[in-house]
Amino acid sequence: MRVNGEFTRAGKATKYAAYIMIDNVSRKVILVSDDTSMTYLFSEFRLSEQLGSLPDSLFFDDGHCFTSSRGVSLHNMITAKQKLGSFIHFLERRRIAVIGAVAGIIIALYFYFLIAVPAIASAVSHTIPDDFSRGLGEYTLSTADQRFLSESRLSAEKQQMVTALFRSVIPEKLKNDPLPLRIIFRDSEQGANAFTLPDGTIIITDDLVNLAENEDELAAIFLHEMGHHYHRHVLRSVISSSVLMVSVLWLTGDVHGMEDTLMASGSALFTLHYSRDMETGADEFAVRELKNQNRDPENMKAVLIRLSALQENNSNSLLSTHPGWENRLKTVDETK
Amino acid sequence: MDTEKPILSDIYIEKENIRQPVYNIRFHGRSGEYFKIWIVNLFLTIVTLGIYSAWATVRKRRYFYGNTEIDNSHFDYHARPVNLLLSRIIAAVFIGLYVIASLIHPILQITCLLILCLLAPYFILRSWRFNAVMTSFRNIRFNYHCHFGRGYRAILLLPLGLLAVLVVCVIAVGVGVSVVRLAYNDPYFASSAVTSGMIQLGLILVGTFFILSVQAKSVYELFFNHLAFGQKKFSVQLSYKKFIKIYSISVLIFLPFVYFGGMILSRLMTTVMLSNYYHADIIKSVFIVNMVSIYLIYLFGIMLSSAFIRVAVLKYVSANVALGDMLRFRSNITFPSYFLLIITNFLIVIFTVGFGVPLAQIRHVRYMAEHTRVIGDISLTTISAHGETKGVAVEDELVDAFDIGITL
Repeated sequence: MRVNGEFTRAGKATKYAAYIMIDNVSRKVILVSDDTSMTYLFSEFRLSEQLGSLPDSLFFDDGHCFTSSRGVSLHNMITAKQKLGSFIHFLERRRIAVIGAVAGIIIALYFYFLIAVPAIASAVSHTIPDDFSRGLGEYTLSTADQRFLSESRLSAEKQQMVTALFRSVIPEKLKNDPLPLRIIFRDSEQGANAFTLPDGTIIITDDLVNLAENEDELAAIFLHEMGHHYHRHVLRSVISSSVLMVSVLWLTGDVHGMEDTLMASGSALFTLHYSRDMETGADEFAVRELKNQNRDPENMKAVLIRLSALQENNSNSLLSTHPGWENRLKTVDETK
Repeated sequence: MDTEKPILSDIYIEKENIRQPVYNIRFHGRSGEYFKIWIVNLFLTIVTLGIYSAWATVRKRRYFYGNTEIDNSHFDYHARPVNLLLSRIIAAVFIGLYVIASLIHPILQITCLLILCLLAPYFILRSWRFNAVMTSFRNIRFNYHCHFGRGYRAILLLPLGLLAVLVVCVIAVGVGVSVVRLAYNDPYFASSAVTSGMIQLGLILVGTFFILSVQAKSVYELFFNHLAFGQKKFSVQLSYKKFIKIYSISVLIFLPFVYFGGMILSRLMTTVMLSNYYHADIIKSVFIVNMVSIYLIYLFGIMLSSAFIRVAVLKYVSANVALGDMLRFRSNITFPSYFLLIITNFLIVIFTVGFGVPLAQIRHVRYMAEHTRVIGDISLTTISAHGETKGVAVEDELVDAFDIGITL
């Protein structure tokens, strides 16, 4: 078999027209260029890996190189051992493989982001030392105090009353927690809200205390936040966003600009998804504990409805940190 | 430059007109073919949790290099995926350390960032070298000679020094104005605070672009003046003046967008403030529409001015790069056609949720290839290989693994 192409000598860039004769029986290649002819055994050259419709090259051990013309595949003519590369080349030309790859990518991403990442975060959160959570809690509190929190304006008696209630609603399974729950009062210009910090500190704003009309409503709020602490939600969301960041960087190591932005916004959507899942988990925890303590879960719905009236209608959209109010009320009903 | 040696440059032009052949760069990549390669790459990368990405990168680069032809000879890329994998692991360890540091303490995070900044020029030069040595044309490897002193000067010291000067200037303006106010003891001099603020803001804007243009010039020189094909060296002579001019024009292009965006923003802020004052409700959708339009205006402005910089710099640099005295280069890309390409690529990627990335990449490379000319004797009879790929020791391979993916 004769194949035309071009030839460069070892260490020189000048090219010559050349052809090779392939002899599959004695496993030899004869290279002919102008007046010279050279014979090589199959073991004396390396054949470039197949890729798309790139022309194939023979890299001879003595440094010479032969490149076939475009559209002529040396792989079909030289019977050498097939390698992994040629299997991938086989895949890259099949439509069915492409359809499979698209489906596989979507399934794999779904599995990874919706199941694997939360599971990893949950597993890792159990290995984090409590001292770390304490440090993170103190740091978060001091930053929040600087940014948007100020001294509570509630009276001392009111604070004592609420603190007593808080202690009485702590569920049995959280009583011996290595990171004990505590409550602190703050005023915030952003209105009614409550936060849980990684060290078990729960911050409640004056507006939220005033919003609750009875003890059971306050208990519902506390139990929701305690649910966050029980599941170590803050730590888990810190870990899962780190895992997300690293995996996006790892997967897109070779893309720039707009693809990066696209992936980053995609991972932001997943972060919000985890956040909504955590809120639902905390709601379920609260309803179950309310029932254990013989308090009416309807109180939780009442306080949720009042909160929803204060804030702009947030529908159950992809872009919110909390599930929509209707969904949260439904969760309460279903857990009952 | 040219005026210094008029006789030589005359001869050169004559030579170029009469004897120098001109070659087009041809790109044979097809988006359908590449899409399949890309999607299989992506799938295997995800399934192997990223390990395959090293093999994927080699296949991708081989596809683009191998399909780029000058005078019927194509480029080739020879990196071994295992080396790339090593560099990915090193990079991942660095990122992991950084993430852990940022979780533990902000000071540790900043220290980590500083160390990375200090190491950056070293990594950049090594990755240039790695990719040059792994790239070949007619089986002759490119080469990049690392001069770390010059690298640190161009990438780190020069911009940081200028930044320090800028900061001192900005502070000096503030202090100067205050001193003047105190000296005159004039209570009606209140407007001077606003004036000094405006001067400082202007200084920061102009100064930043000045630093960027100076850095760009020195980085391009750093790259091309130490790049070689075989043993033959590339060379380039660039002028600060030209770079400053290019960057100034791009600032002028960007300014109207800043103005319009700022106008919408200030109107929106006034509305929000008034509605707060009168306890009126502001419709959320109005707010969102306004914010989105501000974002789009800035995005469009940034794309427009950065496309201008890229076109102007590419034309200027490629006209001044030479391979020995054998080859010169020309780029005839134009701002409108390049901007159209960027915008359509952007839309393709957005509306295909990312699956159009291979099409966008093929379009970009084809455009670049079709608009570049190589002038000179392509028979390359005087080119011979450098021996620096032979006998690579294990530790050299480790160091050569620094493929961080930084491109000009």
